[in-house]
Amino acid sequence: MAPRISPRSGVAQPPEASGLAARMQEGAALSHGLRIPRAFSKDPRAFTRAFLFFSLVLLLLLPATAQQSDRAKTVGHRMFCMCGCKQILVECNHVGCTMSTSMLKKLDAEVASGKSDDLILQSFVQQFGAEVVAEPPAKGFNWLAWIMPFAALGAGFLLVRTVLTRWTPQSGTTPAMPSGPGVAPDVLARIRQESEEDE
Amino acid sequence: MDLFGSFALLLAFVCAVYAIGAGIFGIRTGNQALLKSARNAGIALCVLVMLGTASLVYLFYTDNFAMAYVAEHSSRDLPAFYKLPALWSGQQGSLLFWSFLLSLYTFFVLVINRRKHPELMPYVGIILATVQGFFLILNCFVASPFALLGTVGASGIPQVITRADGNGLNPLLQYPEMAIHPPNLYLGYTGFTIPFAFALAALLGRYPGEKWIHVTRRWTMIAWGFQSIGILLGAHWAYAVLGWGGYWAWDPVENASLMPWITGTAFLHSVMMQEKRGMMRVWNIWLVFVTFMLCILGTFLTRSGVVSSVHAFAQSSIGQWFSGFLVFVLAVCIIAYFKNRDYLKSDNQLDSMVSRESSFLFNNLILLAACFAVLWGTLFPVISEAFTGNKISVGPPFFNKVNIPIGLFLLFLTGVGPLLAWRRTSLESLRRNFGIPVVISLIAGAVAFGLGFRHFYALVCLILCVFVLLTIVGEFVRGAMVIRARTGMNWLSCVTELSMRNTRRYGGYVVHLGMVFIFIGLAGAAFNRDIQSAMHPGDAMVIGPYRLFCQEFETRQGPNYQAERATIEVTRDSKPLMMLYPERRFFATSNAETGSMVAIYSTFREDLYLVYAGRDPESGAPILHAYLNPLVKWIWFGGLILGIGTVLSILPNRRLAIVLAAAAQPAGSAVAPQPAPAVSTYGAQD
Repeated sequence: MAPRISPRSGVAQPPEASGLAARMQEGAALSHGLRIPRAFSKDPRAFTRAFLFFSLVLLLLLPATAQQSDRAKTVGHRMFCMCGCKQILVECNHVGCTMSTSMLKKLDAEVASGKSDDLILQSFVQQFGAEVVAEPPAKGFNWLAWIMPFAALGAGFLLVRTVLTRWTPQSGTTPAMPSGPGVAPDVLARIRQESEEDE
Repeated sequence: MDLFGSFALLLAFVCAVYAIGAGIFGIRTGNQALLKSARNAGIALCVLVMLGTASLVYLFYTDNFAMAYVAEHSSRDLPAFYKLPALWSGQQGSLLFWSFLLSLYTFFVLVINRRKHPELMPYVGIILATVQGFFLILNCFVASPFALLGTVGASGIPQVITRADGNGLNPLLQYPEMAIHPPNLYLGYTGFTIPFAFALAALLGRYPGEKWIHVTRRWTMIAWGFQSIGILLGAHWAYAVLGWGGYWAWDPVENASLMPWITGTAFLHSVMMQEKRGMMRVWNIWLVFVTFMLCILGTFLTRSGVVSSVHAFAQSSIGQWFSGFLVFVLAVCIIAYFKNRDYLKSDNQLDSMVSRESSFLFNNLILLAACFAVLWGTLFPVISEAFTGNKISVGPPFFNKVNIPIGLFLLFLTGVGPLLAWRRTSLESLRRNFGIPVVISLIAGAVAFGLGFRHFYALVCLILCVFVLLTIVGEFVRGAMVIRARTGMNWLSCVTELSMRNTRRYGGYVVHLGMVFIFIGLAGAAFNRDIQSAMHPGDAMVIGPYRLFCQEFETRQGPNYQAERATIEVTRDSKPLMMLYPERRFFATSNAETGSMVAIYSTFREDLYLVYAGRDPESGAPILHAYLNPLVKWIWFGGLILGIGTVLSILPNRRLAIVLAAAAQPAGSAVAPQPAPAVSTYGAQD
């Protein structure tokens, strides 16, 4: 997965020339700027070993760096900006919003300190109140928020199953007839005719 | 003109009261003249509301700043195009607009059916007049858009004052989509009043059978179609204007529009059970009732201040009126149901558990579970505070976690349901219809997994989208093959002919196709990326395969704003692609409000979404926020397909039209056109 960039910590690249000239400069740097160490020219396998070693180090380091950015973003998506804009913290797009700026700085610091997601959220709750978390905490009364939709779905499944069982005739039974109040045949015939016309 | 508008609305209210009274008295006495008079009063009230609305539009276009509403929501430099949307930009105007749209529906229903359904129409007229009456009470006495700006003079006599200029329209609303999004959404909300009126009329009038469903099917489809398009336009507006990179935030106002749409969708499916099999009469009646009540509930939630919303109007006492009306409607529905429920007895009989009927039951269950989850999440902050005393928030993380699995199961049923036959589906039929789609969709999933597509829900969504797509395409191909074998027409003509023979069935498939595309777009959100950076001319930033090079910033003068615009050169894989111009607008007359014009480079693969967020208040550096949002275009494309499918399903069947045309021709005239051959290879007709 490509490493993600923290929304507020993305760093602009330095000013550079645009277009072909810039690419030509890069090419020149590659062809003339690199010098091969003497040890590698003596023993080509040393270069291979060094390459593999640095690749391994890079592989170990890269996910860690990316994970940190991802974590800040993931945790930030679980919180609201408290300026009153009702936007998710990492989506608050008010430039100069002092609240989101300070909250994101705090978030970056908390993530860098190695705290768990729950501990980070807890520290925000202590500072801003429970409203800062964008989803109900899964404890106490607020468990209901999570349970009820699925409980309703489960109850619905049971209900549908019961209804289907009841409506499906058992072998040897005769189908039930509707038991509404009697309607005169001529009235029913007229209604059917009108219905067909409407359709 | 202000007096004219007020007077028209007052007169309309009188007509509503008369239509209700005369209608009830006419039904009780059987007096046909009185019933006709009540109907005419209903038509007159519609015309009067239209005149009242037209007068407010006139006041906007003539810059009459003696009117409080006009002064608050318009200004002299507001472009003429936006003076019409200004009508529904505030509470009073939007309520009048609601009345206006309801009047349009009511007018056409009363006129089209003036000589039809004598048992139903008096009740329908009373119910529609009652709903109209409620909104006219608000328009006339609670939130009148015709209030004048005034002051009390030195002598203690109130005086009308006219301001030199108005506050202007909210910058966020100065966007072309705002001219069509609210009307579409309101046409959806108000449109559900028609099936509600007919359902309640059938119950109150103890009218047996499925007549009310036949009469209202197209009205329901129209309301549902407008609601769908309205929701999608709102999402697109949020995406293109609000500048936070997304289109749906699970805000209470958004949820309020989604809930009746979900129950309306459930109704459109379960109603087929009643038409084909005479089943679920009670269920359908209550689905319509609930859909209408959810329209009112949504309005109550967002206007009462019970739940806080970005889009909501300021908290006001008007919420009490909606809660009162909601209780009244609920009471009427419950009383009518318990008094007349014997007339709703159904022939609830299933031949097999594996059938179209059972799939519709599960479809309804899932849709209602989704609706409940949205309602529950929207109300839970209020419930939690009432029980625990603590305020909590329920935002997108909750709604996504709860609704994504429910939505995916619904997508699965979208593929399964239409291929099951009415009454009973054999194992062989299941194998024939589902074998190839299941295998291909699983292969697609495996390929995607192999290519590094590891997000669980996105992967499941992809598999299901392929599955549903193949089942739909399979249905069209099977039907078209039969027509091609008989007529020798080309494939396109065969598909067109097939669709026009059973518009409801194939229109429904096209709507499902649109939903598949929408799901594809929604799944893309799992892979969104963004970067924000301060950028001066000459700076660049990279996101995905795109390199954004900032060329310059310039200021320009608009009709009622000053804009600061960035010029960004976009290259992809080192090749020049295009220029993007995100800008930030500063409106002088709107309390120094600002608005952003997002620049979007949109393809079916991904959207490059660029926001000029403004200048850093400390350093003064311009800040640009770039997003890379995959597959978003599929959502809007899916909406277009959904709209086409809705229109198709409303059209009359071609075969029926030919038969009617043939029947209308006098005997002995030219040879009547031959009806097209029936297609009989697939299951029961929808």
